[in-house]
Amino acid sequence: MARGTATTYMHTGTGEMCYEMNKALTVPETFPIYLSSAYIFDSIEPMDKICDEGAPGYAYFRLGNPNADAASRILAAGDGTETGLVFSSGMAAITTSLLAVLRPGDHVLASPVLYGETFYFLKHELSKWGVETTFIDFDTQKPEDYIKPNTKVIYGETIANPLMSVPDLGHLAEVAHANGALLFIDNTFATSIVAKPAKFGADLVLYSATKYLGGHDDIVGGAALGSKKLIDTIRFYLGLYGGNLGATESWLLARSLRTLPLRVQKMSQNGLALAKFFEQHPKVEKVYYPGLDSSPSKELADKQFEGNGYGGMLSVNFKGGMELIDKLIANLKLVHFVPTLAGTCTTLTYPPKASHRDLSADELAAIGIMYGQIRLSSGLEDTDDLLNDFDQALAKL
Amino acid sequence: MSLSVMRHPDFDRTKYGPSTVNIHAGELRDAYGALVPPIYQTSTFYFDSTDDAVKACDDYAKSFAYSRITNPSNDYFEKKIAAAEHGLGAVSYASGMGAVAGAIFMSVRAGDHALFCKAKYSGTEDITRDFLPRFGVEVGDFDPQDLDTLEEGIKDNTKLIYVESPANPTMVMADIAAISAIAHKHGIKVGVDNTFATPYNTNPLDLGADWVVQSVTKYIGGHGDLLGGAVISNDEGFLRDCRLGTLMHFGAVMAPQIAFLATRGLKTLTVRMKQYNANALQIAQYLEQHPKIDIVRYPFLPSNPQYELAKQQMRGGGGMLSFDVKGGLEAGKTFINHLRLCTLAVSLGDTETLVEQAAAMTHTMIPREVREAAGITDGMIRMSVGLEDPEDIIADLEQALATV
Repeated sequence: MARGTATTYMHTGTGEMCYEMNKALTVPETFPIYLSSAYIFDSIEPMDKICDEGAPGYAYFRLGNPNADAASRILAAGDGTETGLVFSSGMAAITTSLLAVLRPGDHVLASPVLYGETFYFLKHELSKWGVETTFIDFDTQKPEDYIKPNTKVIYGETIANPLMSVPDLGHLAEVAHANGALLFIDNTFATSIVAKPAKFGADLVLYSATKYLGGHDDIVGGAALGSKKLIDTIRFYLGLYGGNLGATESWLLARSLRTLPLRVQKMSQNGLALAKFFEQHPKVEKVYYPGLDSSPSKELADKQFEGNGYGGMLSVNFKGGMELIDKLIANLKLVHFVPTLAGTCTTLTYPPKASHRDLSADELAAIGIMYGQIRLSSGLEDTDDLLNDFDQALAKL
Repeated sequence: MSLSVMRHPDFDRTKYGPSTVNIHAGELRDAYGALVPPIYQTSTFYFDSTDDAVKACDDYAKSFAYSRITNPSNDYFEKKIAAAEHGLGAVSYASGMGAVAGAIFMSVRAGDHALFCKAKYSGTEDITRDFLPRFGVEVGDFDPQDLDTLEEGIKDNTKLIYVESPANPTMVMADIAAISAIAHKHGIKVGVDNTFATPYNTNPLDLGADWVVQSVTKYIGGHGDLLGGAVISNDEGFLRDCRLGTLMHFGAVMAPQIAFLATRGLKTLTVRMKQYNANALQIAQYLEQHPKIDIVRYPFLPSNPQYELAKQQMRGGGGMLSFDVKGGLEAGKTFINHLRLCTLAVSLGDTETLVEQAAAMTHTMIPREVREAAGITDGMIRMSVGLEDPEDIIADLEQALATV
């Protein structure tokens, strides 16, 4: 029977065309974008096979999408984990993963020097659900002294935001595993190019993919990488809480990851050059960067890092307060105040008013954040251009 | 022409290195302060009054009225590629061939004569053999390795000299400064396809070229996921002609989404090119010493007869090379069919390594005798070296060559 006009427009060239494409002699060199929210089933049987038995294929976007899987696969391969998941933001990755493994009555051991919203979530949100967090300084306090029988997660960052301190990952993993707890490590500042926490025993490697992984300031995303068993547990909660990364975003993320090694190596070179420049500048009080000989974290960094530098993140304390920082921002020509990091251009942020604005003055002081401090994310510019920009901006102060 | 509000209104590209230029030139300040400008997915633009509309439509090239002429996303990309190529401006196209055809059409008319380098991309070759003669343009060619053939080829009505450097797929280079000097002595314009070299390795406009074309699909986009082209020049009148004469009429317009992706590619061009230069040189050296390889063509090999020119005109040798496996076409096929990591595909400038047999794939439309005259042998394998670890590429070549 001839199809009506409307039916023709509904049914021609739609998903059914994929059957034809499956018979094509060539495959696309780059992975297509699968915007489809759902998939066609020829019968009921494949539904059971896909949903219950893990057969290849997809059913519904929230439960799985080829672009999300492509991005996850690259990330897991890079970090050396079995598998992974991508999320609609770094916070979705962090909170979904924590909620997947924690129950009321559980305990978390964490560094207080964390991304501001992670700290807030642990301290103020999880506590509402009966999960208590003890914050200890991983540099000076021993985790084995604070772990409890009900500790389920030890949580830290490879390079802690914003003071760029590096914890002993192997020791944290040992303490966690000896007590049946999991080690969650946010590897956003390092990326697998600088460090691979899974090598040292981290059970879950977390990312804000918005940063280095996306790398072009144009996507918001997150990732969690680990064993198949742990990821499958988290996958269930991703489906439940729905913080899925869109297909276009996943595709852009996969695109970005092709240049991750090149970008991170160049940003590390620029990061070290900037750190050395600031360290010898008379208007600077202190520079926090794990690649500096003066950094208390250098030894651990050298032990744990991959030999591709120390990343592109550094914090600089100036001899002055908010007023000085405001003038510095106004004087800079290339570098802008942008509350994010790890894009192609070098950016500057002001933690007391950006990443850590939810913290009280006391909480800020406790973790060493000063009002004369900026945090820098070195970009891909020519090194001399960056040094010249800061040199002229500082000369005018 | 400045259609958008610039973030660095006084940005002077001559004061910065190539990476900084690609990242910072042409940055826009939008109404919300977005660090990355939005994708202007709009076909048209509204006006507050008929007066404004008349003003805009009076000169389509100077305002946003309709996306076939220009669009803010394209404008943003054009400012960046112009800065990268050391030009005053640029016009973006739907494909590299859109740009090549557009720039050629705006350079010659019926009764004129144009000279092209012998070896070139087959699409461009088709324009010279088919399209131009049909519309009354006389076409000749010359060997860029022997500039006497250029001088001999010039006629009173020659209006354009067009070269690729390095040429696709022979890797023959054109001495752009010398060719431009000869051309300008005769009042002839010079167009250069800078796709293989990229603006990181060569800046033809600095060497005297009047305009440059890029297949943005290749190194500029850099990820094998878009189709685009651009014409870049210091001659604003020529660019205006390209925009109004070719985009307006032939309509090979770059889509705003593509302009966004192309700009995204441009921001990592420098880090990518440095790696391509290093990887390709290493692979060229490996192939050159391999007993099963007949000849390797790569600008930065000392054995290249144009090595001195390459050193002078290019920052690095680029990511493209071509070679012949001993045993010709059949040996080449065996080799290609055994590659595991390197991908058999046309196109180039992707993050992954691509190989192809020019005579059988990209240059198959060109008659055999023309191919051979241009130095394209039947067994020639063209390789677009990727960003993989070079040891992995070499290991793949090694195992595939072992089967030949």
